[in-house]
Amino acid sequence: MKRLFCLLALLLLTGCGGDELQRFTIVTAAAVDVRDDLYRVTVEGTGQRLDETGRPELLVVTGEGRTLTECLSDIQCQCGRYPYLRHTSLLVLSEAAVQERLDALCERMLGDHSLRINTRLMVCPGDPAELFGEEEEHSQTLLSRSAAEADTLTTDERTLNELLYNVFAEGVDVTLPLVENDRSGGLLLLHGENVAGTLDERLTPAFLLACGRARTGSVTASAGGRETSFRLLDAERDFSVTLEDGVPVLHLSLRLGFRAERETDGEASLRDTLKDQMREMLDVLRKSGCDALGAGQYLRRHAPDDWAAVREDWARLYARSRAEVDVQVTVESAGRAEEMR
Amino acid sequence: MLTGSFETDCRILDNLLEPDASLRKRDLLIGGRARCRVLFSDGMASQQLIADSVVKPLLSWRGPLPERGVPDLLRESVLEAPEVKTSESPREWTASLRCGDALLLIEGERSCLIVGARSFAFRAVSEPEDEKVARGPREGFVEPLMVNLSLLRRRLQSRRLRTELVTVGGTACALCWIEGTADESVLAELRARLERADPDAVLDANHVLELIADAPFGLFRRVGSTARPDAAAAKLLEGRVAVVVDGSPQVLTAPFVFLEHFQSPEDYYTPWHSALTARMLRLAGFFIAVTLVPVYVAVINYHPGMLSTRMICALALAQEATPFSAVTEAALLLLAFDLLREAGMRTPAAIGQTLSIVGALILGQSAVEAQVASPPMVVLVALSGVTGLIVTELRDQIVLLRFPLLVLAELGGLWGCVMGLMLIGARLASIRSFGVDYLSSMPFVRQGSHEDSLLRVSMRFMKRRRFLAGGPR
Repeated sequence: MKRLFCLLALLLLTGCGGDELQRFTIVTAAAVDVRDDLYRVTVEGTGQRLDETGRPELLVVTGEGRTLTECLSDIQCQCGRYPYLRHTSLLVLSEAAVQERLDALCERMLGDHSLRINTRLMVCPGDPAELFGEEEEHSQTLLSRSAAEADTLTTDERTLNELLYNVFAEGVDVTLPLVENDRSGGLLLLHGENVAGTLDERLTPAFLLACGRARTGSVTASAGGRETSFRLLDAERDFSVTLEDGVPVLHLSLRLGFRAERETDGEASLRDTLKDQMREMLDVLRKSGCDALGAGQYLRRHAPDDWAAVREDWARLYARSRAEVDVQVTVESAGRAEEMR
Repeated sequence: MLTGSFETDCRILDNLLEPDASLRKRDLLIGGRARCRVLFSDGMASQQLIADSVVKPLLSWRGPLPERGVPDLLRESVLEAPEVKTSESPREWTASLRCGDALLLIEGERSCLIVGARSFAFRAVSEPEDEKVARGPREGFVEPLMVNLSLLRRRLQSRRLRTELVTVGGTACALCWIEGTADESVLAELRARLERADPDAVLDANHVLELIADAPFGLFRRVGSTARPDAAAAKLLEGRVAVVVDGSPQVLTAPFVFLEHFQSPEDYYTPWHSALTARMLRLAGFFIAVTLVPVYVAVINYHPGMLSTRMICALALAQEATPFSAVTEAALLLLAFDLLREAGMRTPAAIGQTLSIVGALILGQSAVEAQVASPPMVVLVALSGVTGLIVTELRDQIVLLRFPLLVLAELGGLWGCVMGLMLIGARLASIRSFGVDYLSSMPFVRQGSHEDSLLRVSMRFMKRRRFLAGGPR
C-alpha cells in the first residue's frame, strides 16, 4: 500500500501528459523587428507536409503584436500550430529592435528558456524578415556562410549565451555581427543595452585578433609593392589594464604566426598594418564607449580595489583611456622551386 | 493385512488394487508346489523382464521350500531381478505397482515381494528447444526422474554429490546438492518448504516452483530452472541445490539471482571474449527492450529539443500522418507484436514461419501504408520486440514492465521513465531468494568476486572452483 501511495504521489508531480509533435511548427530561424511600437516576429520553419521534391515544405510566417507572446500567438493562429523555438539555430534582430527593445528581449530570453543558448545571433540594419525569402532553408545558408566568413576573420560568431551573459555584466560590452543582403558587414557595438556604434568590416580582423577569438583566417597586406595574403597559423594574445594617474591604460600584446602565399619579406609591413588597424579599432571602441575587450572586467577581476574606485565613472574614463599595442609577427614563406639550370 | 490363505489374500489384493484395466495377474506354482501370484501393470512394467527374472526362475525352482521365510529365499536365491525387496505395507504395494514394479504374492506369507521391472516409454534425450546452444552438449533432461538423475550423475562423478528422494503431492522429487559446497541453510529451508507444500498432485516442476518460491506473486522469479544437465551440474558446483521432479524435464535450482537471467551455458563453451560480448548484448537487449519505446515517447512529447533538428522534423512529419497519439500508437503496436509472438509460439512449425512473415511484412507494411502507424514507431517497436527475445527467460517480465514505463513516460517524460526504472531497481534490490540478495554478484552493487557475473573472465583467472581446469578447491 505504501508503494502504491508513493507511485500515485509520483504521478501527481508529473506534467500529466506532454504535447504531441503535431501541435508544433519546428522553427529553425527567427527574426525580430520593432516598428511603430509593435513587435514583428518572422519565423522560418518546417511544415508538416512534403513538397513536390519530397522534402518538408518551408514555412515563413510573420506575426505582429504588442508583446512577443502576442506575436507568437498570431503566428499560431496563422499556421495552426504553436511555434516550437527549441530548434531555432539563428535569431536575427533588427537594428531598431536592438536600439529600442534589447533589454526587454534579453529579459524575455533569460526568463523563458524556449531558445537554445547556442542560438546564433545577427543584427540586420533593415528588415530582417527579408532575409527569409523564397529560397529553401535560407537561414541555413546564411548560417553556413557566416561560419565561413568567421573563419576568414570577416565577421564574428555570437551566440545567445554570450549576449545574455555579458549584456548586463559590469565592465564588458557586447558586439553583434551585422548582416545585410546576405552578407556580413562588420559589427554592431553595444554599450550595455544601448547601441553605441558600428565597427567597419575592415577592422573586424583586428578586433577578432585582439579578442583572442581568431584561430584561422587570412590578412592582406602590402609586401614588396604587391598585395599579399597572409594566412594565420597561430595567435597568442596578452591583454592587461592598469591605471596610471587615474587613467586606464590598455596593454595589448600579440604574437602572431602567418604563412605567406608566396615568398616574401613582408613581415614588417604586415606588422605595421596590423598595428595600425589595432590602434584604429581601439580608437573606435573607445570613442563609442563599447568596452568589447573587457577592460573593466579585467580590472574588476585583477584589481578590485582599483575597480571599486573607478566603476561609477568607468564609461568616461574608458573613453579617455590610452592603448599600448605591441604586435610581433613571424611569417613562414611558401618558398619557390629552384630555377632549372 | 494378509491372512496367509491364498484365495483370501488374492481377494484382498483385488479389492485394494482394482478396478484397474491395466493390471495383469499371473498365477503359478513355485517349483510345482507353492502357489503364488505375480501382479504388474501393463505398459509400465517390462513383461520380458518379469518373464525372465521372475516367472521362469520360479517355475524352474526345484529346491526345498521352507515353512517360513519363503520370501527371503526367493529374494536371495531364486529371483534374478536386480531389485527385489520385501514389503508388508499395502501403501507401498500400490505405489510400487503404479511406478511399474511387479508384486509377488506367496501362499502362506503375510508379506509380498516387490520386484523392480519398470519399463515405461519415454522420449529420447534431446536438446531442449528453448535452451539451444551453438557449441556444447546437446543433452537435455527428460521426464523420468531416474533418467534425469543419471544424466546429472554422469556429469558430476563426485562422491560428494548427494541425492535425497522426497514426495510432493504424490510425485517423487529428488533434492541434489554437493556436500561441502551447498549452503546448509538453503538446503534446510528447501526441505522445509517442500514438506509444507501439500498439493493434491504435481504435474510439472513449475507447480513445485510456485509452491516453494519466496513470493509466489512476484514479477521476478526467485527459483531458477533449466532443462540442461550441464547447466544444472554447473549450478550444483556453484553451491546451489537442485530439485528434480518426476515427470518434468525442468530442474529447479535455488537460490537464484538476477544475473543468472543473462548467463547461458554457451558462455562457457566459447572463448571468454565471446562470452563477454554475448552477456553485454543480452543485458543491453533487456534494457533496450524495456526502455526504448517509452524513452522515445518521452522524448518526442516532452523533450523534442534533445534531438537534432533534422531528426525532429522527420519524426514530426511521420507522426503527422497517423490518427493516434504517440503513446496510443506505441501501446497498440506493442500489443500487436506480443499477440503475434504468442500466436507464433503456439502454432505448428509449418504455419509458424508463414505467420511470422505475414505479421512482419504484410501487417507492418500495411499499417504504415494505411497511415495507421508511423514508420519510426514500427521500427522502434520491432527493434524493442526483437531485442526482448534475446533474453527469453525475461520475456514475460519485459512485456509487463514495458507498459507501465510507457504510461510513466507519457505522464512524466524522461523524469517519469527514470522514476520507473528506479522503482524497478529498488524492487530488485529488495528481493531475496532463499536468503540471498537478488542483485548479488552484480558489479558496483555488491562487493565480492565478479569473475563470472556480468563479465566472464578467462578460466585461469576465476578464483572460484575451477572444475574444468582442475584447480585448487
